[in-house]
Amino acid sequence: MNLLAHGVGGRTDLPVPTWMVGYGAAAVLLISFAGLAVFWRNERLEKARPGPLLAKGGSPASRATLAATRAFGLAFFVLLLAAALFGVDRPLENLAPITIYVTFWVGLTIICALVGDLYALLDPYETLASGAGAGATRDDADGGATRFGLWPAAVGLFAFVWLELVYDEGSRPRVLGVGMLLLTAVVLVGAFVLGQRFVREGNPFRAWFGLLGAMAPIGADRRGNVRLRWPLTGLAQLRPLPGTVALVIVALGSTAFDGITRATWWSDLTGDLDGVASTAAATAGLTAAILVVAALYLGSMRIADGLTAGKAGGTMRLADAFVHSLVPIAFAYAVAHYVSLLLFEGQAFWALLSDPFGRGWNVFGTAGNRIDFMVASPRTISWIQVASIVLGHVAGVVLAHDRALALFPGKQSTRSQYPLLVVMVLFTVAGLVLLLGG
Amino acid sequence: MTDHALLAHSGGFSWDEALFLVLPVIVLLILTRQARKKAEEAEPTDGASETSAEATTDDG
Repeated sequence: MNLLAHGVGGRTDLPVPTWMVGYGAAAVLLISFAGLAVFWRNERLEKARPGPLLAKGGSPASRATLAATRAFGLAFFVLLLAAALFGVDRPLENLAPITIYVTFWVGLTIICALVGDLYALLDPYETLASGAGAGATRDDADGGATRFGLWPAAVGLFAFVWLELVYDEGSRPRVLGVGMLLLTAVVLVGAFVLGQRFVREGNPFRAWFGLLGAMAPIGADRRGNVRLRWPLTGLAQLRPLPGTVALVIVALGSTAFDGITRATWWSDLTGDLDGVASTAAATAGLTAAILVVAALYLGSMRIADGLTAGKAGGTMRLADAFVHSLVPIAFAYAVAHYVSLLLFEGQAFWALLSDPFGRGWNVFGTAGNRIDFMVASPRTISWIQVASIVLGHVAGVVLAHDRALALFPGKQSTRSQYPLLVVMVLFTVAGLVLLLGG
Repeated sequence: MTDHALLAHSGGFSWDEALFLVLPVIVLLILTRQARKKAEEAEPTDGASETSAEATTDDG
């Protein structure tokens, strides 16, 4: 197991028993659902108007800001790649592993979801593809997707979480360096063959952070105007591309697998395995977790399709229509599972920034910084975990309710949500038990 | 854990745990009732489409 993929916080850190947390969370979800049925009678998120303008797209100031952030993103990408390929090959002494798994993967997840899609401003691949002259296609011009949609991003995300959660050597700088080179090659070749749009759809990070950024209160419209908006409205107004369901399910299933690996029964089952057998068992576990999440979600959509007499056009149409409601849940799981990693191990980023290659440098005078483990108590972290899981699921219920009102008339809108509600309650309770019960 | 809490946990639920279990159920019941009432009030506006949708379901 990757040595960076762990965290603190557990059952013993909360002043209440796990059953109480699970019961309370399920009650919050059911009460939210019933409350929405009473007080939220029209689709508000779908029809929300654009908020106040923060920055006009295409203005000299916007262009200059974007050029500066993209230049920074590219420079930092080159530094990370160089550190991964040429720095010392020890995870905790090299800038690349902490930056990729903690600062980037966890930190940007939180910033994108709570503030706005920062990754889009930094994306080094967009700069590289534009610089290399990857051509615009007809798809780029008419706003459509490449023929693969987000499927390549879903496959790429699976590869990344496999490195993070399964592969024993996944936090070794050289392995990450090779991974970065592979991703760069795939994205750039894809951009040349399928058009510049592939940079936004084929790169798993761009695609995933884009979905998270749609939750945020700051977002850009089609013309590039940056506006304030109510949280979740961007997500409610998003039109899913092919593969969006797969991408979200991979994100959700991978955090579920992370929870499973913390359970004692998983340790009992796989503790004696080593080498290839251990990797094979963990790969099977990760795949199974993703397939179970997929089966639960698609199963609930199939039942919902039956309950609404196929009015939405079939199970897959419904799955596309409601997939945005899973995004805040996936975000919540990411926060719950990795917030301690960001708060503690994330501090090492500042020390490693002074010595990115592990050569004993002290460029910014921070190389001697030590991790302050008093920055948050285990109890605080446990409460953050519980709160994020409950709030994430409530946000999911709100999004699903709003979409159901847009799709179905009268009682059917409520009825259509029952199967997904059951799945959400199951996810909440299972997520909390996995997180706190281990 | 205090003696009082230990005593409370030794034999079934304490009163605060029982309240914790029951209160959400009561709130849920009230809200469900309200939701049903609101749906019935709104019925005349979308009743026609509802009936046809249900007929389709019944017919399979």
